Amino acid sequence: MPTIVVFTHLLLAGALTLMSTPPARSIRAPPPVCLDKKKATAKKPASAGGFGAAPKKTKPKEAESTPEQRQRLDFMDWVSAAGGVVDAVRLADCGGGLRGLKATRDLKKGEVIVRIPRSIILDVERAEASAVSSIWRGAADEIPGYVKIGLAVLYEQRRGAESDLRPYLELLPSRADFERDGGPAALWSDAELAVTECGGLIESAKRRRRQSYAADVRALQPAALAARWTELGLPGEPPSAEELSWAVTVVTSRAYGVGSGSGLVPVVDMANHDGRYPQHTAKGLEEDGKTFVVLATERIKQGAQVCLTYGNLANLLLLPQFGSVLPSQKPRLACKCSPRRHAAPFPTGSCCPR
Amino acid sequence: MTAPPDLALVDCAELLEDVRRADGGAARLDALAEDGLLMREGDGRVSRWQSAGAPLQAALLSLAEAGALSTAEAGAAAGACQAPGSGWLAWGAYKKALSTTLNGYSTSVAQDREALGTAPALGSAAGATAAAGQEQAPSRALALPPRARLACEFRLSQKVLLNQALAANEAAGSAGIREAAARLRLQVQGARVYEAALAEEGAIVTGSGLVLVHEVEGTGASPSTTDEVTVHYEGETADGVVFDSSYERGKPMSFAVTGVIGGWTEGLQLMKVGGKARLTIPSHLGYGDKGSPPKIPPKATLTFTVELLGIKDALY
Repeated sequence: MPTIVVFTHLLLAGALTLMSTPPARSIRAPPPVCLDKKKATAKKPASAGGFGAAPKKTKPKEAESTPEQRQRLDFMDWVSAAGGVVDAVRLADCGGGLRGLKATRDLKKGEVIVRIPRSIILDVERAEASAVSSIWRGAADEIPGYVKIGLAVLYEQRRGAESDLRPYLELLPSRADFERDGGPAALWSDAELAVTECGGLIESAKRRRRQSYAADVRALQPAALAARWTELGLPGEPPSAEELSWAVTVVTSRAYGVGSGSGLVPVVDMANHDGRYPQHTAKGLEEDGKTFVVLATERIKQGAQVCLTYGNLANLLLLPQFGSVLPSQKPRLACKCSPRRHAAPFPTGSCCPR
Repeated sequence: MTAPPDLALVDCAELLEDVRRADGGAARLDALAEDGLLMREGDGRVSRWQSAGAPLQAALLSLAEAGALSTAEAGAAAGACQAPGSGWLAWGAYKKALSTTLNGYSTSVAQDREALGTAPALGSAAGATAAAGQEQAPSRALALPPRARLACEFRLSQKVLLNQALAANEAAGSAGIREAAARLRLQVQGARVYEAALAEEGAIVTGSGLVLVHEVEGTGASPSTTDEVTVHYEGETADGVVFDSSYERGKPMSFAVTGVIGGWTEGLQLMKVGGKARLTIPSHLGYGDKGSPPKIPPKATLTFTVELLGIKDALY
């Protein structure tokens, strides 16, 4: 009988915010907005889904079996075969091109919704144990965990059929998916960013863009990375700078805290983000560290979307990292400056670029 | 700019500590630091505001959003808590900054709504279409390239926030700001009083967070939830102001153990007749987020000295 002592204790204490293991900073929840049916009325979804948008103008027809639906089913089968428990959810279109998870049956408070074994979680630990880790062994600069996971994604992709994570990797949003949905602003061009007219946002997106290219790590600059990749005999073409940036952005837009680091948790990372508090789910690694679990913290009805949260994040954080914008009802981090006209009373050194 | 004395009320370090202690506060501070809104010290701890006006205010607004402060309080703290060395930002300047920024946008809220197709003007027609079960006309928002749409939605959300902040400031007025800042200071003091109580020798902390220190143990029976008790007591707020005292009235008080605030119900059962104890009661065991105006401010940590004089079975 697996223990979920930690969970029950915290559930009783009502301390749900503290449930997730804090991931390495700058890696937060997956993406976007979990649109409440009620709220979603007049407004089109503000953002992209957890794993790419649904094909445009296609009405979801459950009975019909498209290649894409088959891919999803294969993916869920793969998770189950690995020992995961995912029968309480299905990958679904959640309206307006937004994808997410929906409950396949009524879920009771406290019930386990999803169990994902550590063996199919791509976390820092796994990246460190894989052949790709030779890339950063002995590197002079420290390499952040999310970059390591990004490199591991690129490595596993290149292993093709040999990678046991293939069904998962195939469902990750491509660069084109990011472009079609908007995607994290970290991947936007300067001209695209300028439309926000918010100095703070632009600065933060650019900082993330630099991080996605691992700009501060000499060993990961294109020529050095390519040379090392070839030298180590790692499979496929060495990743380009663009590919690295994509992979790191994939990680930072969907990794969760797993143990002391962070990691890509299949299925769980396909749930949409919702800033509601308290949330209707809680998540985290079981005490034995072998399984990532999502629990219902209140009753969830069959057919309802199952959402996760990484907290009540402001659009100023959501857009650069996850590519989503929540319709704003409450004061969040408002940008207090525009790059066009600087707010006079602020002292120098504020967030506005000159 | 010099600090208006009535606004120079809040020490930033104290405020941060207060937030840190709140539910999920530490994670929140980390997130703010990650995004450059707060500074980290050498040891990685988030312990001071970045010395810049805008991020500071943005951070404070986010704290307001997190429920740690009200919007007015956040504004007050922003006014009062300007980083040392960069001058104090007076309240009026803050307000002006908000509106200057708003005016700095190239489009109005209405124009953005229009561009995004979220203007309510067409509501009835759209509703009729939906009711007829027809395919809804694609909104104009979808005609925008995805990134332009997201950027517009973001821009709009920022403007909405600025407008809200402005309205809140307007509504609070300068008196409201002073009051809010004083309340904030009291909360900070409350956190300190609580911490001091915890550190006291012989302090008993219950699972719920009540802190009890026996001054006189007592020898009699302990009351249970069905009892009625007679006590002498004195209660004070974190700033040391006595807000209620049976000693002053010269007459002890009787009540059911369960008929009082949670901190008392719990604390009394830990006492014995003849005993005297000091209870430090966090707001969730007291009068909560709302307080009990006019004497008990919101989120107040209260200290009570309670003398248990007797128990009588409430059922007889």
